[in-house]
Amino acid sequence: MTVALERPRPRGLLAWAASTDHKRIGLVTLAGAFVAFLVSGVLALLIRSELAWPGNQLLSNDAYNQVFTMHGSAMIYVFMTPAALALGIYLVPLQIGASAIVGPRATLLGTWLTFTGAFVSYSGFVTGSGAARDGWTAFFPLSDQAFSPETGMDLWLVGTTLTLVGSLIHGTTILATVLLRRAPGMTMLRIPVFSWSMVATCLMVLPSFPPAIVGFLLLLADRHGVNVYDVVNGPLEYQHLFWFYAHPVVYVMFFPLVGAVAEVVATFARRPFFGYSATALSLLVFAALSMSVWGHHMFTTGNVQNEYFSLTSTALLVPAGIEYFGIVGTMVAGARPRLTTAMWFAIGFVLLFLLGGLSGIIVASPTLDYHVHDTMFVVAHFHYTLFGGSVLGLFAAVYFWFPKVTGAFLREGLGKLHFALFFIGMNLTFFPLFVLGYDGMRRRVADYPGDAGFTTLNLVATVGAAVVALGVVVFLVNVVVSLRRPVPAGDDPWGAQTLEWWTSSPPPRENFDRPLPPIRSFTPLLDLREEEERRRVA
Amino acid sequence: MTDTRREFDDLFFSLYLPVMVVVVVVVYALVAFVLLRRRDRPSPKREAKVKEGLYAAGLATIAAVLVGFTFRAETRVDAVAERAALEVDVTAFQWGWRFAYPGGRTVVGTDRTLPVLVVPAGETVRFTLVSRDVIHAFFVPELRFKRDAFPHRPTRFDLVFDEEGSFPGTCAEFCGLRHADMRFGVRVVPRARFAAWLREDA
Amino acid sequence: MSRDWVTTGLWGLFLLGLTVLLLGWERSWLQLLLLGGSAALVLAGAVILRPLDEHGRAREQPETSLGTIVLAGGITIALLGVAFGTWLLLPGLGLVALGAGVALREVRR
Repeated sequence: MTVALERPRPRGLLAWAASTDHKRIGLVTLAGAFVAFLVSGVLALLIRSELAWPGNQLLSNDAYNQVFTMHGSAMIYVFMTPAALALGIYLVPLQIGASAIVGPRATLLGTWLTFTGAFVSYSGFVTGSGAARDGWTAFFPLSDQAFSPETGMDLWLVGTTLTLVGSLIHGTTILATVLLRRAPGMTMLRIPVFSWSMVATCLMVLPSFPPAIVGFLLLLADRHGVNVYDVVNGPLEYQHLFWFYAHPVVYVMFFPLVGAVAEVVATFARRPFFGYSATALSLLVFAALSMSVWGHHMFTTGNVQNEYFSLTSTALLVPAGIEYFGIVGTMVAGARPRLTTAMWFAIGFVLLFLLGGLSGIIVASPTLDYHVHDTMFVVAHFHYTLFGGSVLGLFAAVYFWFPKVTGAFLREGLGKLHFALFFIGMNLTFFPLFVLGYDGMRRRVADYPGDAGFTTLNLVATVGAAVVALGVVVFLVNVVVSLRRPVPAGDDPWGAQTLEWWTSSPPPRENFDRPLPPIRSFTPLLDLREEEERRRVA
Repeated sequence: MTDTRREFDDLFFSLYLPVMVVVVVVVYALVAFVLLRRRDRPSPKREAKVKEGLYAAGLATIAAVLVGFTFRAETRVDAVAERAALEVDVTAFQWGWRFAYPGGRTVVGTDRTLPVLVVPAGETVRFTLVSRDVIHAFFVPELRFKRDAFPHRPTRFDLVFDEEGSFPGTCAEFCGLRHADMRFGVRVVPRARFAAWLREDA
Repeated sequence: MSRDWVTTGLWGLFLLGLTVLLLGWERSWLQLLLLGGSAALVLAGAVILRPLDEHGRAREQPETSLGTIVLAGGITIALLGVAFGTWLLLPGLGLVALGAGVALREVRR
C-alpha cells in the first residue's frame, strides 16, 4: 500500500486561524462557539443567582436585562447555531468521501464573520451605556432609538447581522458540498443520517436567514433616522421578519444533533440506523413545516392566523415522532448498547428532548399558549429542547468524534461524571420552571414578589445551575487530561459505520490517502465488515 | 360567555396532559427495556415499512385530534360577543396601567400605587387594549389569558370573571427597565357592588 | 443518477404546498412573500442545480488565506461604519478591497 506524500502541515496560530482545510475551520468554529458557551454560561449563572430569592441582590434591573439579553443572544447566534454548523463543516466532506468542502475560503469567511460579529455585539458591555438589553428578539418599538438609545443596541444589531451572514455562508457551502462532491457510488439515499440532517439544516438556513438580516438592517436604519417600522403595522411586520428566521433557527440548532445522536446510537447498537429512508423523508418534511410555523410565536398578538399556525405547529409531531421511531427503533432492534459516554449523552438526548418537544406541542395550542406564553414555562420548554436536546447531543457528538479528530479518547470516567452532572443539573434547573410558568411567573424579570410562592422552586433551579456548571468544569478537565496524556484511539475505535472512520485519526489534509471502500449503502464500513465476516465463514 | 379558564383546564387536563404522559411513559419504558434486557446481537431487520406507515398514520391522527379540539376551544376563547355587559379601555404604558370605565371613572397606577382592575362577577367584560409606547401584554394568570398591547393598534377581547375574589395581573411582554415591576390587581365584586363602585368619585 | 436537484425540488414543493395552505387563511403580502418567496427561491435553486456536474473537481486552494480574514475585518468595519459614520465606512471598504484582492491573488499563484 503506497502512502501519499503528505505536505508538511503548517503549525502555529495563523495556520489554524487562516486555514482552508475544512477540518481546521470546523474545529476553530467549534472552539469559538464553545468560548461563547462558557461566557454565556457565566451570564446564566448570574441570572440564576439573581433569581435564587426575591429582591435585587446582585444586579440592578438594567444590568439584569443586559445579562439575559446577551445570554440568549450568545447562546443562539454565537454558540449553538455556529456549533451545529461546525459539526457539518468538519464531518460532511469526510462522510461523503470528499477531499474538501466546497468554497473553503468562503467557509473561512463565514467563521470569521461569526467571530467579529460576536465581538462587536459583546463590545456593548464596555461602552458607557452598556450592552443591548431588549432580549435576543429586540422587538420594535422597544429597540427603537427612542426607547433604547444606547450604542450597545447598534453594536448588537451590527454584530448579530454579521454572525447571521457568517452562518448563512456556512449553510451554503455545506449544502453545496453534499449536493456536488459525493464520492462515486454515493447517491443521496446512501449518504449517512448525519449528512441528511445537515442537508435539511442547510435547506432551512438559506431562505430563513436573509429576512432576519434584512429585518435587523432595517432596524439599524430606523434607529438612524429612516422611517421603516414607524407605521401602524411596523411592530408586527418586524416580528414577521424576525420570527420567519427565528423559528427555523431553532431547528438549525437541533437537526445536526439529532443526526449525530442517530450515528452514535446506530454505532453502539451495532446495526444500521433503523428506518433510514423514512427518517430522511421526515427530516425534509420537518424542515419544510418548520418554515411555516413562525406565527405561533405571535399567537397572543391577536393578529396572526392562529388556526393555520397551530395546525402546522402541531403537525410537527408527525415527522418528529418518526425520527424518534428511528432512534428508539434502532436501539430496540440493536444489540444491548455499549454504554460509552457518547451513548449516555445520546440516551439523555432522547429522554430530555422528548419533554422539550412535547411541551412544544402544548404551546402550539393557542388556548394553552395564551396562559404560558412569556412565562417560565416557555423558558423550560426551549431549554429542554436546546439544552436537554441540542447540548446533550453536542456532547454525544464530541465524545464520539473526539478520537477521530485528535487520535485520542476522552476519558470515560470523567465523561460519565460529566453526563451525570448535566443530566441531574439540567432537570433540577429547568423542570421547576414548567411549574413556575404554569403558576404565572413571567420570563425576563429581574425579580419576583416574595409572596407569590415562587421562591422555593427558584432556589432549586439555582442549585441545578450550579450542578450544570460543575459538569462543564469536569468536561474541561477531561479535555485537558485527555490531550496531555493521550490514550491512542486508532482509525475506528468504536466499530463505526461511515466513511470518516475509514481514514486515519486525525485525517490527513486531503481526508483520504487510500482508496475508499465500495459504497453500496449508507453504512459502507458495516457492509465491509459483514462481507469480510461472510468470506471468513465461507 | 367565554370562560377562558375552563377552556384551558379542559383542553390541558382532559386532552394534552394525558397524551403527553402516555407518550413519555411509553418512550421511557422502551429505553429502560433496551438498557436492561440481555441481547448481544442486533436484529438484521433494516426497515419496517408497514409498521412505520401505521405509526405515521397514528401520529397524524393524534395531531388531527389535538388540532380539532384546539380549534374548537380557540374559537370560543377568541370570540367577541355582540354585546358586552361592560366595556373597559386598558392602556398599558412604561411601567403601569390605566383602566378607563364608561361614565368617566379611571384607575391609573404603577407599582408604586398598584392599579386595581375592578370588575363585576359573572358578566362578559369587553376589553379594548392598547399601548402608549412599546409592546406590553395584559396577563391574568387566574383566567389563563393574555393579549399583547400594541401602540396605535387597539385589540379587543372578552373575558368573564366567574368568581369573586382578588388576584394578580401582570405585564407579560418584556417592555424595558421596569417590566418586572409592571403589575396590577384584579378585584371581582358582585354586580350590585360594582355598579355602586362605578358611580363613586375616583 | 444525480438526485441533488430532486431533494431541493421536492423541498421547494413542500414549501409551495404550505404557502397554498396559508392562502386558505391569510392574505397578508408580507407573510405570503416570506413563505411563497422561499418556495420560489428553493424551486429556482433546484432548476439551476439540474445541469451541474455531480462529481466536480475541487479548485486548487492555498493552504491558508489571510485575505479572507482581512475581508472579514473589512466587512465588519464597513458595517460598523454604516451604523456609526463614514469615518469607519471608508476604511472598512478599503479593507474589503484589500482582502478581496489578496484572496484573488492567492488562487492565481
